[in-house]
Amino acid sequence: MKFLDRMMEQRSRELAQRSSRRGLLKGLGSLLVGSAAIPLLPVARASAAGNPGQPVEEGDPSSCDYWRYCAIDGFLCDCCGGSANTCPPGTEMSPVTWIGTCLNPADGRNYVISYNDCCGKSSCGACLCQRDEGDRPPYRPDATNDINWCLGTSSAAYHCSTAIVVGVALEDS
Amino acid sequence: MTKVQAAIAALLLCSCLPASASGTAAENSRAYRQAHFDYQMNCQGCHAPDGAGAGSVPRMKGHVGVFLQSQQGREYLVRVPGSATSALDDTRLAAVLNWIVLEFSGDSLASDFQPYSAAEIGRMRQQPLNEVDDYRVELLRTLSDASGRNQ
Amino acid sequence: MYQALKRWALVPAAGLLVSLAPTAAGAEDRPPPLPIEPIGVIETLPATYPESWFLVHDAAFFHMSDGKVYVIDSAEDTVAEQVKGTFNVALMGNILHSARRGEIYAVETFHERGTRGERKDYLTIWDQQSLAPVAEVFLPGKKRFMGMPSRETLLLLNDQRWLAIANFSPAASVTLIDLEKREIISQVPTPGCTFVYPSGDRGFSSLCADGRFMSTSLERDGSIAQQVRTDAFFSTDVNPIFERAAIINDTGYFPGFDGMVWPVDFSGKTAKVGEAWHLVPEAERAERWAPAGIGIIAEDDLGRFYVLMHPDAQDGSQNGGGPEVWVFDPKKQARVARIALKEWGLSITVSRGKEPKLLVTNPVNMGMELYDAQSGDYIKTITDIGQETPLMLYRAE
Ligand code: HEC
Repeated sequence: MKFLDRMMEQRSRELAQRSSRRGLLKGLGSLLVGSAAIPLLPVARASAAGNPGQPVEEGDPSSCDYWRYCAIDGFLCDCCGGSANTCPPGTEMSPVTWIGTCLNPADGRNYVISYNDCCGKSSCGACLCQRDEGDRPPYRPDATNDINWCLGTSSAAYHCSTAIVVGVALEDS
Repeated sequence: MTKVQAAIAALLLCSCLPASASGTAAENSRAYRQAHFDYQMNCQGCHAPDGAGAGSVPRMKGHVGVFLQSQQGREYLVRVPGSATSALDDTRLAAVLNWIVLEFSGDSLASDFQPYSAAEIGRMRQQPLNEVDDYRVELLRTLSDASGRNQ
Repeated sequence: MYQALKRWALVPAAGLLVSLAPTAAGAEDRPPPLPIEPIGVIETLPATYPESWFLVHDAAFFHMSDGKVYVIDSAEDTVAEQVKGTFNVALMGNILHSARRGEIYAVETFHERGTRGERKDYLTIWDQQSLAPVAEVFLPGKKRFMGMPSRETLLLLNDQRWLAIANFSPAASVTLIDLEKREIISQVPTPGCTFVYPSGDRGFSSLCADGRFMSTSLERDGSIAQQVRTDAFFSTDVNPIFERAAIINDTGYFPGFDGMVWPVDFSGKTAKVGEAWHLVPEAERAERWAPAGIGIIAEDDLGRFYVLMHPDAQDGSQNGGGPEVWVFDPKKQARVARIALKEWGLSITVSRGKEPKLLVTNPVNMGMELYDAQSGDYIKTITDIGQETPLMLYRAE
């Protein structure tokens, strides 16, 4: 799911304050900053420095810039009563979805991300994001975010999107 | 890596990378992870992590081995569009299908499974199936007649 | 609503006259009273929509079950005159206008109780003069393609007697409708291949995951005569094309993410892919121009096509829109004009006729800019018609 601006601007002022909105205003294309340019936002998980041996992940799961949202297109469940990897109460998670990879700048690994939609209620309305790294048109359904993935759920109403880490990508493949 | 995984990895290797048929543990692990990764990236979105499927996507979990009882069934698994038209090359598709068969079949798989080879995949995927649903029903009917199993 | 508001607006003016009149000339000289108005009059639209009309598909991204199409006249200057009427298209539906049949086809989805309850998909047939639904065809299987608005999910074929509807569940298929009988003729599986492009008189082609077309030709009764997969002509990983095409005289022009364009001959039963050529003149390639947006491409009746372009293209920028529309003459395989947009563009369309106008959705305030498609001159901005997310624009046929 994709698009636009003033809407996002109006409806997610909070988000606007936290992430670089200029990019969005200049046509969503320039939003797609490289990982190096992503400011490190509030720490979502203990940092390596504090807890050696712990997995690390940094960033704000309610911001479009969050590393694992590199190809998300829609409302962030984190802003809708769910989280980056859970659905809001009373919704249904789509079992059918599409999969991509995103680079976690905190540990330098690429992860396999499953973008399951949460369904059964109307559009969440908050934190609308559009990032399309690796996105393909719907003729490549395994790699497209242009489809309403509320498939295999009892309701086709799209509510919000998650980005679930389901694996570590292989290097050089 | 579990024992099953190790066995699968060995099979994956011997079917797809003949040069290292007696691959080291590290290579085995690598081949297994590659097949799993390719499954995740190309198939899992529709077929679910455990092959359960949903909606119009059939359940492979606990079933998919049944197709390997006949040559036609063996070809079917390659000729379904999800396989045949995937972006994976023949070698990697062979590895993914072997991975699927071994991970998801449960007891639906007979013991003498011959892993798919890249060359075999290359041949079979030339003719993707167009009318999959009808073909599948017909195929399962034939298989169940032949084996007395009720699918 | 606007009509009603307008009429109310007359009341204070009339009151003013009444209160002024007596002092000016005495009660007897008041103008005659307003005629008594009939109740229950409902407007209708012309049998042929003028060239200046457009269909604006507002998918209502923030409340999708309430999507809407505005029929507008871009030649007018006030909202009251611009808006000719609307109709609803529920839950990320799609539309197709047939002027010949005087109908607009909308494929939509409902749940029995709003977002809950049984899902039912329908083809709704809107009469273009009354803008009322004149028929519904139930679409079984809960499988119609549902996604970002797209012109590639509906196709008229067989001399506009049939309508093809693309399905994705995620099994891919096509539902064929007989528009005369307003019933389903058949369901055609198109495994691994999505969308419907024209092919011959009685067929359609779909785009496949492995970079080829599958062309289906149909018998008179709607059953499959043959299905042929063409050779792969692009890599969906390496040099993907957009599924969105301009179609001029049976040739489809499919732009690629990389700025190439593939001509595809759809005149026969099987799609024939020609040689790709570059949309970007050699001297400008270093600026990395490429197509981007949602409705990225349109054709006019002068044989030219228009593509929404952006510079500095990179992985992930392909849906973001752009600052320019480039105009191409496919016969010369050359760019013939470059239109710098007043606002960033997200979707485009071009009106029919000899004096085409270009209409562009801008994502900055979701208004729509109108340009002269030949000179590239900016004409006006159409906004405040009630639109929220006008993601797809159509010319009136
Ligand atoms: C877009 C969704 C989608 C993706 C991605 C996908 N499949 Fe499928 N798969 C289906 C559907 C739907 C069917 C049922 C047959 C049909 O209509 O195509 C199916 C059927 C199958 C079957 C037959 C199972 C049976 O019980 O009949 C196999 C084997 C299979 N797919 C393998 C794969 C492999 C291997 C991949 C990845 C390389 C893959 N699929 C990717 C949707 C998908």
